[in-house]
Amino acid sequence: MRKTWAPLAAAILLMLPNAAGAQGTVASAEAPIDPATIPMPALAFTPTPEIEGNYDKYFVFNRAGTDFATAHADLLECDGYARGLSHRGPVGTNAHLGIVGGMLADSGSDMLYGSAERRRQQRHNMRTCMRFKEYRVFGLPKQIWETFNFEEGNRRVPEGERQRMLRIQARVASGPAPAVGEVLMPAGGEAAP
Amino acid sequence: MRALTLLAIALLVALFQIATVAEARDQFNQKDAVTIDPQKSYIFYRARSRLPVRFIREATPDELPAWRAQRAAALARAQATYERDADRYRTLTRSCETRSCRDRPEPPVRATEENFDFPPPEADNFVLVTSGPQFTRDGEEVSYLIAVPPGTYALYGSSGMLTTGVAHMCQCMGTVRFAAPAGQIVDLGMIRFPLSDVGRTFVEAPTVTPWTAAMTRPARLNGLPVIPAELRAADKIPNYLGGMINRHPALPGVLRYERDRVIDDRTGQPPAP
Repeated sequence: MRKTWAPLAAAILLMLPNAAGAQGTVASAEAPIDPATIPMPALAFTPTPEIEGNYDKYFVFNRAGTDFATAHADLLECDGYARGLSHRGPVGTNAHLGIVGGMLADSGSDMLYGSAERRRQQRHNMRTCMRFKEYRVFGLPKQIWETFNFEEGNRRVPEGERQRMLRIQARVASGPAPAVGEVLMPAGGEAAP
Repeated sequence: MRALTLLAIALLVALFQIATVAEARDQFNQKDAVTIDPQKSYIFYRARSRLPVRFIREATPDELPAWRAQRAAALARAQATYERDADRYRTLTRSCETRSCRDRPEPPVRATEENFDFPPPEADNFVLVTSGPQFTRDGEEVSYLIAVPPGTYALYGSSGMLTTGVAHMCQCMGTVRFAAPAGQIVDLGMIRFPLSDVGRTFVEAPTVTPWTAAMTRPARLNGLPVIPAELRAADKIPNYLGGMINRHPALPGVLRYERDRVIDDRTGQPPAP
């Protein structure tokens, strides 16, 4: 039953509430979108071991019998859970470099490790959310994937660009299933981070 | 240099421990006498992993006026910011008409009563049960007791340190909730971390195994008003902490899912607000 000074340290270390907004609540008030106006990307490719080795990073979703509006709403909801993640790289591990040097080194650590971890968590959240919505996951080569997908590590994707890509992803998710590259759910599902 | 790095890491871990203990000022240790404050409720559970567990309390009607005032003030600030952003956007757009712009600015969106994204009233109502102190400890078996404001709580998630920094995990896409009445100790049963319980990972979302008569209670709770938690389905919760998401596994008679829709297994309907 102690009361001490440490809530400040706790706030820094645990990134307590208020650090992030109400994620998962991003709503769209747009008028209905005609899917025929959304370009369908070419998804055909021949898998190689190198491409398959990156399926955990570069993937799309697809669900049979799903219309564009449903897929778009699903992707918007899942993007709401996956955007603006709060993870920051380790703080204080460069204290031996002095206050300024340590802060600069911590910042560098975050650019490297924090950014990679935020991108990993974003992928985890998108996959988890869309799996719960019963979408299948299909891997793609990076060169195809990056034409209509985004990731957020050290930068925020401009909102207009983000929405444009989400619409294309919805077109893919509600279109014909890709012919190759299905990523089956690992044993234990998406529970493990 | 290596020794200094290790020292710095040890310092960080120590800070983390101090911080987590400090936030646990309502959390009972193995020597604290348990005296029931009639103005408070108490959450008790058993565990095998000592990962932090985070609950979130639903907002009560008397909290709403203050929240509405905060939201109105934030909306006014956002609208003032919009006016400045709109001026800046017009200036930048004009300059882009006379010379090439690498990054054309996006038009700002005016915040309105309808589209304003403001955390709901429960967003600050977190309760964090930290890894220590424990209420009891017997080998790998531990239990926790924490005093909380009375109300209705949902199991939210966990937080912990990874080698890459602090990570959060939430049962954002469906979880369980329970009432914590004033002057009562609510026995949640067992909190499990399916992977951490067998030593495989560090941060994951907790799950509840509801109390059964086969679960013993510490003798220090004898004679105190202890009630089993009545678990109910809880609908999706925003990812307030910006962590990784998951959902609580289905619990027969409590919680199930139809696709990603949360269903109250007693009624067959989505959870009542």
